[in-house]
Amino acid sequence: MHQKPPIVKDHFNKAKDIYLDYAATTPAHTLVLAAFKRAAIKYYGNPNSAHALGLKAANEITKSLRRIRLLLGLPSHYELIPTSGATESNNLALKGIALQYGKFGKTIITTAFEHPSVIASANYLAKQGFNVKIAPSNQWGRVDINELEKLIDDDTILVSVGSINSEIGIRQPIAAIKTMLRQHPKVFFHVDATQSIGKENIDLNGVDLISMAAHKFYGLKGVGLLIKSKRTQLTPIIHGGHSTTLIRRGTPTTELIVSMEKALRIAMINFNENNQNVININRYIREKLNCIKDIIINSTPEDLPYILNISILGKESRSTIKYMSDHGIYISNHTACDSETNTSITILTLTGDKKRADSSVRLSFSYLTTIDEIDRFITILKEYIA
Amino acid sequence: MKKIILITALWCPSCLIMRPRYQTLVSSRDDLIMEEFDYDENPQLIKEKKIGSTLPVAIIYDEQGIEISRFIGEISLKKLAEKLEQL
Repeated sequence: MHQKPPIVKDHFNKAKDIYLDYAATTPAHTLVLAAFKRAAIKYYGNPNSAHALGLKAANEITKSLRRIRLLLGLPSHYELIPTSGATESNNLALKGIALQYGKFGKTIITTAFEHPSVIASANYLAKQGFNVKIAPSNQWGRVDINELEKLIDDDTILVSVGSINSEIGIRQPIAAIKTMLRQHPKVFFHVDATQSIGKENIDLNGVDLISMAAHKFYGLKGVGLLIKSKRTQLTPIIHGGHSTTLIRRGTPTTELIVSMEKALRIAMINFNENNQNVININRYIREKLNCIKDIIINSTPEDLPYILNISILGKESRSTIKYMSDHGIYISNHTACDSETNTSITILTLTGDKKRADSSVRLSFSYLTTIDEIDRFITILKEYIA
Repeated sequence: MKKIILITALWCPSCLIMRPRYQTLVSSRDDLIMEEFDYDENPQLIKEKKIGSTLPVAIIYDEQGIEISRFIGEISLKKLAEKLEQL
């Protein structure tokens, strides 16, 4: 049994700054940093080397990956492929399946609310001759299972749906899609679970491909996983020399993988307590925002409580972010990987309202977020709108 | 022959939806050709054509190479067919 780790609150400059961009990335937990340092010193051998130091590092990776699999509740037939993060995992999932099974079918189905790395991979494949279909969704962005099933035909090789949309927090019906896809055993199911891991209980057993990234749950940037079921074969997209990782060649980063396990373990141990804090924060800020004119809350109560998307009518999102940043408050507009423009494609797709899409910003919370921070944010927001 | 310049981006979900619609309509007509350009890879073109933040953008040129219309964002297949027919 692992001892409950200390809360990391004391390690931030909470008196001055208010960080509300936890969906973009989270600060690394001190115990994660300690695990990284320990592994970097103890297991510095190249895991691909045949000597004892290399084997020691490779063995540590194997043990860490096994423990991550168990923490995620996945059976032993799942293979965990370390990657540089969710973008690489999503690329490998879509392109790896397309290259492997393209001779059997050319149709890939996804949604309009995926992370840019899924959309970009799908667009890339569409340019290579694949047929990419967008699954219809309801007014809240949730996939309509019946309509999704109607899109599936003999040419379909993959359905890719993110469990949580990173901009609004739309929760997709992963369990129902999984059940429906049992009737279509030739179709592989990829779930980008990047915003779910450590934040919600999600049963991923039965999913063929799962993407995740450590820095979303207080781990380090630069490491993630693509997890694949036994039946799933992937054609590699990164080639290299002999490696312990056959699908993704290169030197596996022992210290990052070990630190990811630590981050996941901490997230799982404190899951209920952390989750309740975020639910309370979400409820509190909704009450406050409902009293402010010209604010529209775009996230529904059914969405993930860690993310709250709002539109501040009459205020362009980039101006809002700049103003907040100047006052020590850090928020985003749409996904951090796609923030050059004001317009939120997600809000525009859902509402058809360009003014709402141009003025939307994302607040994202953590167990570190406090009521006092929310009160200070609301005060600054009122000053900004006035 | 009229020409469509279609500006898309890899990160754009609406481009996934609209590309096949344009392809379907262009392939059904003999008087129309289409060329696709990537938003991020062609900054000069984006500046010259004054392309905004909503994608995809389709610029339609007549036989003399003069811009005669511009469609932005998502449009249903039926509406797009009607718009192209009117040109």
